[in-house]
Amino acid sequence: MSQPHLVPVAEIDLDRDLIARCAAGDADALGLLYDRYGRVVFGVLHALLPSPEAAEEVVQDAFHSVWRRARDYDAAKGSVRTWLLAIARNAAIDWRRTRGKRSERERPLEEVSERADPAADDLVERAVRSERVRDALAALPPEQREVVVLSYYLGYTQEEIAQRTHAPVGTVKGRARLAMLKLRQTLAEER
Amino acid sequence: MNEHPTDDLSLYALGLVDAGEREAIARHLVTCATCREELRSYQATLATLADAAELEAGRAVRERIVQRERRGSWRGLPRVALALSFVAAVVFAALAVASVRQLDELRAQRDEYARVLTEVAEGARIVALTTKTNGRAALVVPRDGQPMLVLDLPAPPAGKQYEAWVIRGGTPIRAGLAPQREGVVLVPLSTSVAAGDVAAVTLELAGGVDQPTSDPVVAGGV
Repeated sequence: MSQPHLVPVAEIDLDRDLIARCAAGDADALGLLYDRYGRVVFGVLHALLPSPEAAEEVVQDAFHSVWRRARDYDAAKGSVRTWLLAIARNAAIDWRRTRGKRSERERPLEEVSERADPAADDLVERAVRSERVRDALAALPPEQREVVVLSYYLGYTQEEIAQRTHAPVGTVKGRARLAMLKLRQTLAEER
Repeated sequence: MNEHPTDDLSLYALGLVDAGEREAIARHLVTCATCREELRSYQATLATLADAAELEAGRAVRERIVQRERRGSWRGLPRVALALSFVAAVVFAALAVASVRQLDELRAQRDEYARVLTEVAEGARIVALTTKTNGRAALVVPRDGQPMLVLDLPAPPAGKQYEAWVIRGGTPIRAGLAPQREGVVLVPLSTSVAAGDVAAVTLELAGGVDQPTSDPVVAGGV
């Protein structure tokens, strides 16, 4: 079965090599990273930001950060995919705080920063373009849906999700396990 | 891990495990086909989620991303290398010999580093090392065979030579001497490297010493 959007164990080395090549100044490696992850990064940015133009601007900022920070990537802390999504998330938040603020001056500041990191349901609404997946996520209890969305689409760690959802790490993991069992069942049934 | 980590495979697929758990599960997966199959089913589920979020940015975006770094490859170089190019430029200006030819040579030297690195690093792991002053350095760990350093450092002063070390548990192990010449050099290491080791380079008396006598000019964790 082809799984082009995941990071099978055999491909982790490839990702790390690409990051190392970026650190060594090889711009082609950055292009290859974009080929692998540009679509998912752009999809999530599109959900986090108010317009496709803003998402296009920020996806460039995000990959520029990847280029500049390639030396800091630490494989022990997680996959390249997770690292990339975290950089994209931060780039989106920066955009909202600076350029985004200019275009939304009439909005109260707290609303702007609130929207920089939308609720999980909001993200699903804006990021998930497949009705089948949207339905499968909608069928989960909200707290399970939130854990999957925060970890998968936004690359949050277990501690970050625990902090954000005010739940112990053990509870977060329990919710994730149940959600994954149900999603696997629902999405497999409909195949 | 003897028991199957069945309950944690979905968390592993999602990335919701800590480093210790990740390592234990990865080790188990190497020998357990049942768990690999279970993991694949969760990965297939996540692939469906990924498909649902993906969206193509405008065609020109990729080009802009790559061109920005290619065009600004001076800017894009690691900071130490950038510093080297400034230093080089200042030196050239002071000596009034900043000819186009020399700048081209400097550029060619940079390209040489990328070329050598790409050549020796095919299929290998590359660890970018930190350089204390000027230059660039990487540790290349092939799947099989000898690890090596690729160094792009200023030429050593007369009578001196760069010496490579692998520092294991705080103890430096002699690992090789760099050829005494300018430009990009390869230093095959005479000892293997493992996770937790530190690779380092010091400037020593030509011919090498038993123990490092100066602070490393290059270092980085493996």
